[in-house]
Amino acid sequence: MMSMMANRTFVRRAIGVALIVAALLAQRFSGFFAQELIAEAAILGIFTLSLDLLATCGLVSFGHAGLLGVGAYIFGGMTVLMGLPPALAIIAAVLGGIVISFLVGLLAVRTSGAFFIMVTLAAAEMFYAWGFRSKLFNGADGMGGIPRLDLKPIGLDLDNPEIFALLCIGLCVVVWLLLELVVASPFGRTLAAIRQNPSRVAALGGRVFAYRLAAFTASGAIAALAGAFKVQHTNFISPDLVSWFVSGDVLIALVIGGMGTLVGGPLGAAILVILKEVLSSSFGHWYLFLGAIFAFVALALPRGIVGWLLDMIGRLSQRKAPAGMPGSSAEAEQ
Amino acid sequence: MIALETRNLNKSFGSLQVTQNVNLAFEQGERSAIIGPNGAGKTTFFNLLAGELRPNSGSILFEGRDITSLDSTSRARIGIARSFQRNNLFPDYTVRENLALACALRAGTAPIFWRPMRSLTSAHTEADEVAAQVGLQDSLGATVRNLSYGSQRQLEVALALACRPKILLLDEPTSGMSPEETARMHDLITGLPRTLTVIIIEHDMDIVLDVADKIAVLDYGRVLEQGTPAEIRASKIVRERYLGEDAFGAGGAS
Amino acid sequence: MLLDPYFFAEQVLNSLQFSMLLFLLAIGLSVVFGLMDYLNLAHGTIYMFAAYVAFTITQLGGSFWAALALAPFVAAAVGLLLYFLLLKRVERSGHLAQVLLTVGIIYMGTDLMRIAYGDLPKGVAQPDMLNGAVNLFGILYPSYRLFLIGLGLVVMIALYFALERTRLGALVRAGVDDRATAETLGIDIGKVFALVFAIGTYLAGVGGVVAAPIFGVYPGMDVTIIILVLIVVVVGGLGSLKGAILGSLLIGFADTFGKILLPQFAMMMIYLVMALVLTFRPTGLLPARRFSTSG
Repeated sequence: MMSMMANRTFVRRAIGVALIVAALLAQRFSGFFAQELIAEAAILGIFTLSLDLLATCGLVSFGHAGLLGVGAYIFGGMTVLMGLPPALAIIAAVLGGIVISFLVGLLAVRTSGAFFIMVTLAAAEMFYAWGFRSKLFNGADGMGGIPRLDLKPIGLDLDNPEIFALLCIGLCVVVWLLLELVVASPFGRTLAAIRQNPSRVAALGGRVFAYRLAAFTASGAIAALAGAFKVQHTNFISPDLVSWFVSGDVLIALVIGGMGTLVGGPLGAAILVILKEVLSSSFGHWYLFLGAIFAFVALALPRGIVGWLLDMIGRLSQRKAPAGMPGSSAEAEQ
Repeated sequence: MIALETRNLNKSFGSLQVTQNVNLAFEQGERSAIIGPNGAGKTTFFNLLAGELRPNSGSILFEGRDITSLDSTSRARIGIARSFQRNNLFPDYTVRENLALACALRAGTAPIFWRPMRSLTSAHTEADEVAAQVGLQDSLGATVRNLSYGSQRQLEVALALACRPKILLLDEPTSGMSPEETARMHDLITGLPRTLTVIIIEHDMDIVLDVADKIAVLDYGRVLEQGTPAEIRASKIVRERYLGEDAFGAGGAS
Repeated sequence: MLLDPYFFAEQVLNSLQFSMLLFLLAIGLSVVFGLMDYLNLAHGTIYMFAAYVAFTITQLGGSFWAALALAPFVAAAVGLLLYFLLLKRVERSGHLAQVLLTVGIIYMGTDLMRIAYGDLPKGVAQPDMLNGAVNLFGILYPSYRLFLIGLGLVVMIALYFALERTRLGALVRAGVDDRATAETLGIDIGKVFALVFAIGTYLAGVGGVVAAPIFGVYPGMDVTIIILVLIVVVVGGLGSLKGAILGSLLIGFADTFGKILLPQFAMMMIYLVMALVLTFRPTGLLPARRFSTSG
């Protein structure tokens, strides 16, 4: 007998594989401009995964752009200002993400719910205020000329948009697989238990604060990684990268795709990037339509697309299950 | 040996004094019951013992060591486990997942992030054993939110047992249970190993009088009386203030 | 500069005036949040909408006072319409669906105002009778700003009596305190909530009208203010009048003095205040109910 949870895990992973195939097909058969969108969606996908890892323990950040910015500014500073090789800068960006998110987390994860949302927003906005005035990074005007990773020794020219897009897809897949491993591990299961009932985890001897801090720190590392690739993609760094609109975008992509499903984030990222592109090229006041679509998704699919799919499949398989068997309601299982 | 002891324990919420100068000692392996009318401060007393509340004054000693400043997590780690009066579970998890998580937390394997949960075989074996102990062996795969209330009560106690505690605090384990489930819980409590110290809050006098070696009666946060079941039965003040003459008629008959 | 007592006193008044504006928005958001656990980011959209309505009324020849009398009611009506048509539907779907929905409403609202009024800021004139300045112990302070401070105080006192002395107030407090118990006592929380929502949006509307002569009316004014108001709410603590007052004062002062002390990092001061408060009081200064860490 296949348990409900194994069933849901299977469906999630199947959606993930389908998404990878779709991304690779799109990458293979579309033109120059679409490559940019694919890279953008893949990087936003990595960013949503970072937010979803944090959501596993029940915390929702509204300042994740700050952690993206840590990676972006470290990468930009090391490559452009210090002339160091991009490979080193990527490693430094991730380490920087770990250090900063650990320090911010020491304060932030003591709170939860709306308070956590606001503390993370505050941390990111402080960074934004600094970036806005920073002479080193050209303040609000931003700094260009950011190089990409040099993989020519192994025959890959990342300045070729096709190859860069492929690399971003690959990176997103690697992060996704890593997180699939983590959420299924005892650590991930403890995080999910904390989301359901933090006080009981504490009563069972689990250090809720430490788990949340670990999740926030790991999430910060991934966000910083996304930031390091974001600036390689645009070759440009500015405080806009850290603004709350970016934090809002990643949150919205995740909610559209389905929070707590891992695969939902990259799916939502792809949808959001395509939507913005289509709407902005078709309409003058395109935020009107984007807003309407957000509202529609919130009303029709409050648990996101993948969450909705899992609920549907859960209901179908419950109907098939023999009467009297204790079935599972279709709650997020991570 | 005294396993757990409170000294001059006081707790108040604003002007409401809910625990007043409570001095109680629990011998290792002893079964004690805390009884008293609703609002007597029984659950508050448990929250103080488990570290979920801090006393305003007084101290709590575990095996002679002052643990007043330890939080609930630390107390769970040194071997004080509790069940809750209201079901306090992981509703999205199955029974086995609830228990395996508790076992992993106790065994210190919960922080492992590089292997899947199912690879923790000992946590799962232990989870199955604890489930069998409370009679949940047939519901291992059921999601908790779909479980009957009685089964959730059983799981509530099982989670505490999964901590392999030295001291087990049970807060009204049989409340809301059917007579069959109550009987099973009764058997479970009497069958617990004698190395374990058990403190139980319970309204069912049949169980209290049968299970407890010692009884403490709380009233408005104060210890009204304490002693063996026979002594409590004989206590005039308890009869007047709490039990009423009839209570022992029913309780004594069993 | 701050050592000059006149300058200092003037800044205190400026802080008070901004605090009052923040309060007008914060109280509705805070009580809705405390009562229903509803994160309504579109509260600022109502504020912006009321400001545009006020602009329209004055354009049509109406006075500022006419705008102040009418626009908040229009705002409350639109707020209730939004509530019954959209917001209510995600009441139990959690904060995230609420964020998604209300961000959608913000986007739509901003673009609708752009379509109707264009991108450029619009002005609303101060009422003539408040055009001058009042001499307060040697400081010439604009009458209009003093009027704002007075208005804020009046609203605070009125709300205090409404919450403490009326049946509705008792119902609201009961609902914020323990919703489940209030419901078992037969209180129709849905109706209470609709009424609270209407009052909250009405006050946000008042805020929009009185802010218009000072800050102007422009698309995006909603987002600028809502972030500050959210900070006020979490600093003060959810669902309490005293918390909203204290939070508004703290943030109003932090904003005004931050701009003087650290002109480069004005927002920084506000975020620092919030970070400090939440470090020591993770649920804000004066929450209506103590939340457990389990949320």
